[in-house]
Amino acid sequence: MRRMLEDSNLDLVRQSRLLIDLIDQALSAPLLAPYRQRVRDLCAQMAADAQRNLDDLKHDLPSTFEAILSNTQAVASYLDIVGSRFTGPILRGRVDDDVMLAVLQWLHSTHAMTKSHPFAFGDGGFSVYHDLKFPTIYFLPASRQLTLLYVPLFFHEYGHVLYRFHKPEMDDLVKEFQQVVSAHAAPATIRERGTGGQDDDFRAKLVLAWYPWAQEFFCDAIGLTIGGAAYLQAFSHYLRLRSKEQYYRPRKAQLESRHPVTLLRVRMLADRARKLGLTSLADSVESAWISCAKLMRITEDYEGTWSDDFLVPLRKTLDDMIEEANPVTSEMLRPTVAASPVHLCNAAWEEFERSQANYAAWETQMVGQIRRNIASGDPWVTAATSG
Amino acid sequence: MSSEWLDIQNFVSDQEALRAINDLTIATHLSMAQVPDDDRVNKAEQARKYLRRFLSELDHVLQARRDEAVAPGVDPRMQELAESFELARRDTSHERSILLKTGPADAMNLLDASDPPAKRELLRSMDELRELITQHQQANTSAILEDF
Repeated sequence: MRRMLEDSNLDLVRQSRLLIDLIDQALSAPLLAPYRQRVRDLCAQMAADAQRNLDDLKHDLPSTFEAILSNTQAVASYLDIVGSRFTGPILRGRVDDDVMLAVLQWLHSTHAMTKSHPFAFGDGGFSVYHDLKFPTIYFLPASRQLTLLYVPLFFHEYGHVLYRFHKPEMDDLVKEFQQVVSAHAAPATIRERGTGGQDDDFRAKLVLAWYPWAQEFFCDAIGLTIGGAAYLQAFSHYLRLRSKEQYYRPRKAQLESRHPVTLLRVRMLADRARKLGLTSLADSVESAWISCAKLMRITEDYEGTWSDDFLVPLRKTLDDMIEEANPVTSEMLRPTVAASPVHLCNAAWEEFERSQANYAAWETQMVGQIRRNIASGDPWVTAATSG
Repeated sequence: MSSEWLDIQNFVSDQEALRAINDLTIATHLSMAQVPDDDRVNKAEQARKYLRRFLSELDHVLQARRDEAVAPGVDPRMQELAESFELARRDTSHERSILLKTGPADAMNLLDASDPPAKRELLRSMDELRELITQHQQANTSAILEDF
């Protein structure tokens, strides 16, 4: 057994060092440097862990072999994960990654907790991998990496990162809301309670489902808080024609999903947007979604997973969560002279609404401007004010 | 987050717990065999701190689940682990450690074990905890890594 464990760990040390060599040889954007260093450090840690296993084996104590095997398996799995998932943004680096990296750098710089947290982006549907032990990776479709209209969807993903940084406080707030859901779904009479029947099962599943759902509503609220009108526009345009599932899902499918039905998210977003003074846009977005629902012959029905009684407590929960996370807000940004991706995204949507025919040319010009400005250290100043 | 990345996140969290269990286990075996290793002693101290927090959280979730079917404000990974723990406690087919017999709070008291019987009991509890977490982790690992 000792020999097998030694062989495996010697191989793991070598594989970790090869990954470090690949990272060192890769040509990637300067803005990726902190991410690159963090992934390199992870590889060095894996090499050190495998070496530690080899040192443990030198004691030749068979009673420790089970734990050393478990540690060996851990290094092997980490190596697979880092090699296949985290080196991609470094090894696939392209010169035009700089625009999205500049957006993410700005976003992370807006909050004390994230400003030194490394990040990268990769190809995929809009999403984020967030874990405090690893650098954060944002994903977006390859064709969206050179455009501006859907950049605000990053603000939602950034919400997940903020949640992670404030997890204990956020979990407490979500817990309070889950208790509201639990009380609402509780059987009405003592006789009905504790029967272990379908109602109890639904109630338990509903309370569980609201844990990730509350986080999604929070991330939407973060998106709107940071991006303002541009976030609502991007969210609505990106999802409204996607599929019937955005409007209706059977109860079982809802309870198994980490996301609430999108139409309900639109309702909550519109509610918050009105509070921010975006009444006309909120009305127009809701109206567009209802028109689409009618065209698809869908009646708004959340199959018991939502009650209007939840509206006020959910509003309050989201307000408290936003206060706890304390993100930069579009209102805070507006009166300042410092330009930002938020200005640019809002200008992009205004331009898109003004003239869709001319939009592509406008956007190409803006992206070119940002790229030229990146070298000067302030990517947004001219681009944003030009909008 | 896609389910694949969610699996990776769960894998990483489980791995942190496994590392602490293994570090404490190896250090305890070395100490019982009177093999000196300062690095292992330091790692065991960090492992104790982590496991104290982890067992306390598990105990809290188990208590909450006694009142209600689910513990609100707790992420799904910890809910699943608590559920696995409850199932393992009901399994009476073999002799169980303090961890499963009387619960995480009593297992916490073993973390600073100094005499050989207490150390042996600690090792049994750590073995059972490793087994529980490894089983929990396997579902995540197979979803992200076992492609061939």
